[in-house]
Amino acid sequence: MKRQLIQIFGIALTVIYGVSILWIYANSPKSLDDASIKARQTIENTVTKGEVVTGTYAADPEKFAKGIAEFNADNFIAARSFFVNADPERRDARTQFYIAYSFYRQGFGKFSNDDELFAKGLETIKRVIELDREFVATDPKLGMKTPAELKNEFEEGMRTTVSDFNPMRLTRERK
Amino acid sequence: MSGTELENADAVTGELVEETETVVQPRAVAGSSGEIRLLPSVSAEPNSSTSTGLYYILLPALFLTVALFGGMRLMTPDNAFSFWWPPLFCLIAAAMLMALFVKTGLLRIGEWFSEEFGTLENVANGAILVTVFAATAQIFNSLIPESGMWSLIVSFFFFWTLATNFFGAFDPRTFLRFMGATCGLAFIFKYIFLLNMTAPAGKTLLESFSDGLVSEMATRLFGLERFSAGTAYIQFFTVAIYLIGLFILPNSPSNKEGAATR
Repeated sequence: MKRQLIQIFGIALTVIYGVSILWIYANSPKSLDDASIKARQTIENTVTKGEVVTGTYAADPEKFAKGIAEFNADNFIAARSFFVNADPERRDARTQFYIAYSFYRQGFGKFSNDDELFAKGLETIKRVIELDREFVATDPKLGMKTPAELKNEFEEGMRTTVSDFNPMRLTRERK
Repeated sequence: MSGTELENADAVTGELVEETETVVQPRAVAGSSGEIRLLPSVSAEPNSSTSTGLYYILLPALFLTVALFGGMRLMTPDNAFSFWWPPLFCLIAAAMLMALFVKTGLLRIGEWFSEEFGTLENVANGAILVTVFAATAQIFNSLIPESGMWSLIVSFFFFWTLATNFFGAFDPRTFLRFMGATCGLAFIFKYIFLLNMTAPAGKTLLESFSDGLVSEMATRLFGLERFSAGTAYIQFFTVAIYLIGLFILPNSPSNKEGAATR
């Protein structure tokens, strides 16, 4: 019995030690401090993926609220950072909608739009449609409430047409 | 055939020895061609907890430590860790060396696994052999230069040495001495000769050439990696731990003695 216990302990030690070695080689920490930071990130990612598997995953409401505050202050880069951290698995339609919306507002221009930001926004809004086709935003400060409207805005914004040369475009407002 | 095997084969009549509760030694059987072989005895008295712990805990820990540090380097100028996965050649060389372990009797692979053992015993034995393989691959990773012409040359010589050893006759102790000598030679070549030939990093091109024209040219010409001196110390202990591990590795789990006493 004692021999079997030692064997079980030996196998467990081998597996744990072996996995740790693989983790170290996969993450290549540059120092011991770096190793502890990467270990914490790995644990957080593992917990998040565990939540996804068990169906208990939800965006972090605290980080989402901070993202909204930055979004309303037109600080879109910081807002996106909070949104991304609030929804690392990119599974929350509302958070992803705000990320897409931040690309729209940041990329909007009266003369011309920023095609790069609009392309990223289009990619994100397609994800929102995949997550929840029926999603409707309840925020009264948003000019567009549905993913379809936002998707159309991105597509129209990146397309060059005769109407782009209409001087009346200068009077249009950001939604 | 060793003397121990003959002593245990007193009663060999060409038939399988009856398994009884009192049998404590490995069982001797006569093979089809008349040779006498030892089989692991499942009814043998269990090893002491000390030797069981040595085999199932200490040995994997030693070999996994080698696997961890074998690919670790400290880069200049800031001593940042760098972990190098073993190249494919290291896995091939490790497989060849494992085959040589079996050929020389350092490992009697047939006695590590048996249908008569329980699943746990087979898995535990397999885990030890996996760690031996991982450590062996990492030892080659440690001793072969990472890139450039010297990597090719040292790899070739390792391959040549391993391949020719398949046709030699070694006993485990002689093979261990051979392993020690080969590892020592490769270590000295890489971490004394090549490391001292390498120019330090973190300098501008002009500084590099003005401070040490020859070493800078050698570094660039041979594609040498710029490791700090600490790497050599880490690898010295890694190689030492590997050789110690091989020294105490039993040729079969039922044998309490390591290669040193075989």
